[in-house]
Amino acid sequence: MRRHRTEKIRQFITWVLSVAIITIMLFPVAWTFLTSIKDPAEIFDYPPSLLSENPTLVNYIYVLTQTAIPKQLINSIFVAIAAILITIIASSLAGYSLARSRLKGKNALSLAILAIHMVSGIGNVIALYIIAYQLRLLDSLPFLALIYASAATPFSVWFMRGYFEKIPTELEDAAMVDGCSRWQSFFRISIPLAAPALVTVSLYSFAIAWNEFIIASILLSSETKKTLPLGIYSFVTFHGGFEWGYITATAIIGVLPVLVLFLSLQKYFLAGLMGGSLKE
Amino acid sequence: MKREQGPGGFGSGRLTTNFKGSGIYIWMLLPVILLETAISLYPTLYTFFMSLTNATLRSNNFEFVGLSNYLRAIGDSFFRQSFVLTLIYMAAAIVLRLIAGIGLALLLNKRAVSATVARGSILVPWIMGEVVVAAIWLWILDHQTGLLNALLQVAHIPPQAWLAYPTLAIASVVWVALWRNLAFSFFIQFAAIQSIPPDLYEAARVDGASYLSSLRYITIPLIKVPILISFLNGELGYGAALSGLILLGNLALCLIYLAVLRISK
Amino acid sequence: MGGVRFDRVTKLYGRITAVKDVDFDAADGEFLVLLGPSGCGKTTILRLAAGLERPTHGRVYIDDADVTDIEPKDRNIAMVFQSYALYPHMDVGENLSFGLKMRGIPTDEREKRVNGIAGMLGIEHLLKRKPKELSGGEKQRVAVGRAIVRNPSVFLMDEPLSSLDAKLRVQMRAELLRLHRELGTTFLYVTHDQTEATMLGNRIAVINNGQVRQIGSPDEIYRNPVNLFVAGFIGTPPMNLVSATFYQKEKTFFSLGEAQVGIDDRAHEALIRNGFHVGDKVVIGIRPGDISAGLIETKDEPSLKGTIELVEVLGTEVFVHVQTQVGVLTAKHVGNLSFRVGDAIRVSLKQNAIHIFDPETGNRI
Repeated sequence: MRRHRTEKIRQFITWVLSVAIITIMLFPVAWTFLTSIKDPAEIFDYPPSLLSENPTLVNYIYVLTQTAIPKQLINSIFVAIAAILITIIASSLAGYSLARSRLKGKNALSLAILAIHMVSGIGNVIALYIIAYQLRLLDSLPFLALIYASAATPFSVWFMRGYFEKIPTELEDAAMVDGCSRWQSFFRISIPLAAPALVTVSLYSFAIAWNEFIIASILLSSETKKTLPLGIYSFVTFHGGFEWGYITATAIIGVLPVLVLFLSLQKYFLAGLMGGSLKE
Repeated sequence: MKREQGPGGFGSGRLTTNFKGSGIYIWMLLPVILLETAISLYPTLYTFFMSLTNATLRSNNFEFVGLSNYLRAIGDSFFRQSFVLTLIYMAAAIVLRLIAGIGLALLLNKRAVSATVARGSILVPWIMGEVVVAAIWLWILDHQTGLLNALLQVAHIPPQAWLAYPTLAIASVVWVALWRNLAFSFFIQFAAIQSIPPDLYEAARVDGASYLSSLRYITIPLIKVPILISFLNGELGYGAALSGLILLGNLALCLIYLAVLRISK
Repeated sequence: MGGVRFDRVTKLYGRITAVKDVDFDAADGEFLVLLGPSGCGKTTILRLAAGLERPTHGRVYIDDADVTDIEPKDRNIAMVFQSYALYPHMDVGENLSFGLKMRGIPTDEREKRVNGIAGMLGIEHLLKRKPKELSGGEKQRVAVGRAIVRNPSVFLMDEPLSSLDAKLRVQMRAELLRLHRELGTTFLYVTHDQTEATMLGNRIAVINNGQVRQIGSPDEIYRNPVNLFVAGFIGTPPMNLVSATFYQKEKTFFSLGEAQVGIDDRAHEALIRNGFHVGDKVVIGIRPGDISAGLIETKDEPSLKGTIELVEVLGTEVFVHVQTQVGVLTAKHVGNLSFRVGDAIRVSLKQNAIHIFDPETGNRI
């Protein structure tokens, strides 16, 4: 009986804390959404009202018809997809190689990849600008995608390596005895088995490419080349102060598809994370 | 991550060798090496090289000035202050994120619906752009028009200038960074905790371990690598243009961290 | 169809020698068992035959063709792995047909062969299932099916029965024998289980520390182990190995505690030929079945007195472990005396059944 009661209490505490976490995590997002459907005049009411009295889509209509946001949305989609592709190709190949080869110095190499990741970052922005300038790659979305891929790759390589190490080598041996070359066994056996890890790595790369602001703001200057975060930022600088209605509407436009994507892939994302060699 | 070695390890599970030697493995590494060298390593070295010169963005002529840029930076009280603030911010953000990540991962490691929804909710801020997050929190924390002060008013607490006073401002920034970046740390720890076989805990319970000691002797040792990864993927490299000095700070932190890990092992 | 031949094959991993100077020739259609303790290198030998490992020195031949530098896919071999290595993302049918598909065999032909094999192994009803939905025995059948569907010239099997329960193992053993009879293909079979080896193999190669210690029919290996390792490894319970001294009075004999074991002329000659002198130590091996335990001294057989340390009942057979002056000797008990631990007893050795080994080299004399 007693045990039953402590169990109940424990469940209740978990419930309370979970609800608190959900509130803290989602409230600003909910607030963003609620603001986006408010009339511009209503937004600055103080104290602010939670729910709009007459919800409206004017902010969305304006953003989607009167600004470069639709074009920038497409730019962001392009950059994100390109970054994901580069990341998964580079990291699955390298992860596999590091997991399976007996190359001397492979551990040193994987540490070096992480070390590069540590030291490069915002500090590189000036150098990247100069390189882009010299190579005429300012305003180039493929170049930006390459930068994002290079930021996402180090973790991804580690991650893929861990995942491949968990796949029994016997499966690839069996495939080779069954008539596969090493490349065929990689593509037909190892890659399909690593699908959850590829989902994890893709989402990780996506989150970087979709949201990054500083490097994009320095490399991209023309309105038609900008990515979504820059588009949002343009409502801060050029329209005088904060255009909350447009900012929030654009934010929701940017977040909604991603949210759907992430939540629907959450299962694979987690399976990928769990399969990876995150333990010793 | 350790492989079996020695004669006993020849039975199974060992690495497969390839006929054509290691050629294919080197080819497979090529894309990453090219990518990271061109886009990360080269700009880093370039930045470091430029930091030893008096180059400016406007002119092509420059000469070596040794460490004088660094000395000037160290001599600049404004830089010193921002450097110290950055270090405080980084240390606080990383430590809090680790603790919060592990704590929440332990708390939400349940089958309950509320825990599942909470896990999903942690993911949401991470996929919101930095710009959106910054703008929204700027607004929420605003002294006059902010939502937080409006809420405090309801509870009869006087409004605070969240972003005006240094201590409060740093705390606010750390909070927002924690809020947004929790997901990565959380999910890595959560996945690791989930993949610890339950019999280990049962064995520990049979051995008389309390909740805390199984945390100390089973959970934490088994999630060491995820802890390291979420540390490495933290704030490092962000927040300062003068990356050279930040780098030193990072390396020092990293070394301390690795030393601690080794001791706890 | 074809045999497998190893010509002085050595495999090094860094400084560790996994396989050393392995020489053997499995004839076409032979069932050759590689038997040895775990970590002895037997799996490496199998993988060398498969082409999954490349020898450091030496050549590998399949069907008289040098395949040392040939990829596994071009060797026309099939392998059953210890873990079965079924592709988890494919169903049973796809697992079975994968090897055919990789060799470009058309779909309808593939289907026909897969169905044929599935019928032969009684797994038709499993074709649409994924490996994780199969029991251990079913997985094992699929793994075997995947190997035979390709109709290879050599089968390589790496402890294919080791993860089955005892009953299923006995049943699968019989089935493997039947398969071997029906297919008439060369089998190279790795195991650490000597019962399995003796039942299945035409010949057994006993492996230790990466070397072939003896190769021969199960009977030959049991009767005439050529060295101490094979002598100690084969047979349950293992052969008794005790140290003895070579003596001469009127006749030559080995002194074994208070017992004197006579040496026949052939053995004497061999001792002399191997450079043994009176007073030298040798190792004497004698199977438990060649020792009898009783209460009285038998006149014509050397015997030792001792106390019973352990009585081991293995089904209908009873083994008594007796502590004697020269160490513990295991005797197979045939009479119907009932023994108790602690009883004083005498063990008699069958003189003509002893094996003599050189204590230095471990080789049979």
